[in-house]
Amino acid sequence: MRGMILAAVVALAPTAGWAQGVYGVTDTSIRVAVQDSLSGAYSQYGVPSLNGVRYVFDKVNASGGVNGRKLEVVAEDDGCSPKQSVGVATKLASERSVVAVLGLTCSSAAVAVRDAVAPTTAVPFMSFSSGGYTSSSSQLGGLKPNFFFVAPSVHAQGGALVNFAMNVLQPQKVAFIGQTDVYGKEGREGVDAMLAQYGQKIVADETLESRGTDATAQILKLKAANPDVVIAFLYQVPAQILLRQAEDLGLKATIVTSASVTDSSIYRSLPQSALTHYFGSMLARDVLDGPRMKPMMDEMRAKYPDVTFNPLVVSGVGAAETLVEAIRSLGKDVTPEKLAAALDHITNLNSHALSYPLTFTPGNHAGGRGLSIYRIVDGVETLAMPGYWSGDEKASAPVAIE
Amino acid sequence: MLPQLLVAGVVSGAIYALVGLGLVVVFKATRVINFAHGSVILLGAYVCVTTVDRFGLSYPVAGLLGILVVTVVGLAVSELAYRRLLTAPHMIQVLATLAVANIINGAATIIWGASSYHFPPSERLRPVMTSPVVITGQQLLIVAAAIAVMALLAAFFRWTRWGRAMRALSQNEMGANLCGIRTSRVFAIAVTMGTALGAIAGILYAPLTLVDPGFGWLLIKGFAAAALGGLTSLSGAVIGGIILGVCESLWIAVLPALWAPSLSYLIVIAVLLVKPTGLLGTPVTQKL
Repeated sequence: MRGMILAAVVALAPTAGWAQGVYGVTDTSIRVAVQDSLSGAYSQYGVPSLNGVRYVFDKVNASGGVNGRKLEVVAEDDGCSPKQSVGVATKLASERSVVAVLGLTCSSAAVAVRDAVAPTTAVPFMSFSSGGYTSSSSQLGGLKPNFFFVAPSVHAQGGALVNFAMNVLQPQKVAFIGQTDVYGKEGREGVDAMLAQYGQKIVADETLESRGTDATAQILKLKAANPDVVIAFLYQVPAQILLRQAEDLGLKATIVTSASVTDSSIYRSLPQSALTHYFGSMLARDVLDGPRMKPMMDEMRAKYPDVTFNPLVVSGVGAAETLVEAIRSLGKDVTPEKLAAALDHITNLNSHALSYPLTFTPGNHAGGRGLSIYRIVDGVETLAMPGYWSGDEKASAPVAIE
Repeated sequence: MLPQLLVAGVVSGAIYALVGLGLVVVFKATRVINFAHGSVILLGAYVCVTTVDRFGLSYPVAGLLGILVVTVVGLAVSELAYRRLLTAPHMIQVLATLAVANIINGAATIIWGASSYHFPPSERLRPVMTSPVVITGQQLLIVAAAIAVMALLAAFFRWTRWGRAMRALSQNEMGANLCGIRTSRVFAIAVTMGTALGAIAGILYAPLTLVDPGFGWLLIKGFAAAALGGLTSLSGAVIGGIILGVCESLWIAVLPALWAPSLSYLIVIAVLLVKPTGLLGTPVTQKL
């Protein structure tokens, strides 16, 4: 008897989504999941982006919704874990209770879901991670019809930093330091590829553990190569160690970091003298308290006072605005298949937060194009110049967007 | 280049040694590898950085407060959890330290969240010497603290009643009990001391970096240092830490840093293959 009841429960489980309409679409509402790291040690990755999505949906709903339907957010915590992410995504796909899934900021989780879940469902996924180059490359088998990335790939970030450095800093010698992982490896490949277009090669190539306690040897080797610019693909902790020790050990080169340095703790922990020759990069069109972002951030901070926002919030805003545009283009007939097809035709979409316009095509699901650059002035992050530096092609100036 | 690399290696090694000393103190008395040690390192750093950054206390005062708070936590954990497992199989005791680590990490995330915390810039973090090598005040403090802590612990184990009791207990539990040594008291003292040492390591290293939930990762390096030194030897942990730190520094100078962590651990494995008790350790028998 117990077996029969269990069989009946299992058989009826997929129909649970009908309560909210097929794939979360009813006459009055559309449900979208945000699956990300929302608690624990990695919650700083997911919580700001989740609230960026909520902010956009609330604004859309306040103005009447999309074609008469209100947008609803279903928040799911994946803990930044590939295993947990696959479980959550599988549940969302099998329940058929949401029309799309946003989030997946952690690259490893995004790649796991892309490979294990995306091929089994029509539901489109839009990841905030930077796994785009290898994760969506058709040559490497990563391109999936229903999996999209809103951030520029790590490879493209490398290209963007080289374009900035070569045009603004005009170095004779460029050195590289990256983490001892795929992040550092892909960043190095991007820097290498774009530097080649300027007829240059990296003069020193160093690596640093993501949890290393010291960078003396790396800095001394960089110093010996006498570079004008050092491009760094490091997370927060090693980036802070590099900046602090570079000054102590007399490395005079300008240091430019990739977009993973998102927390202002790093600048407040260092004297201004260690930041004089430093540039950071980001996906956002401005620093959070800069004139192009502050009005939006003030609204968000007032609306979600318990959330500590960081620049990752722009991925949530950008992805949500892109999704809204795709849903709007479908009219009343919203299905996961049609939504994925509509995303494939998003072209030059300017969000209110990202520094670059998003474009997806059937052959390219990495929508991000480049990075904007900031510097630290009197301890405050300040946009160095408006616009984004392209990561895909050689550029002589940043591209300004509306 | 070489003198500067040696300085960097010694400083990193001193940090590893401070972490390793806490592991050794607990292992010496209880034969348990304390996997909660990384969590108390994190806790000490969090308390210190918070009291400096939010409440404006000076670093020494905040450091002492951090040690005090973490020591109280260590004592509470010992009384509430470890004491009840004194007669449990060794594996259960080890698993209990893992459970405690998860509880402390979870509580820390609830209190401090997932953000990074930092100490404000300070003259202590600037170079006090620039020639022939560059060395900062904090780096000197770390090396001096590692030496001082080792000397104090050596004196404690050699000349104090409880130190001798710990040694006796680790050598022969039944014999020690017959002589009137109370296992529960020794266990509590060892765990509390180990916890305080973890806090000291975290507090001394934190100003050089950012404090975030991954800070307790230092446990891995400290464990490698302690294992290299022999797990039961205080001077072994310090020597093990210094060897590990200097090797890492020198490897990176001649090879890509990608290989440095692996090569350092290969040294640990090689030493343990040749001398399973570590450089200065003594053979032990384990209850299972």
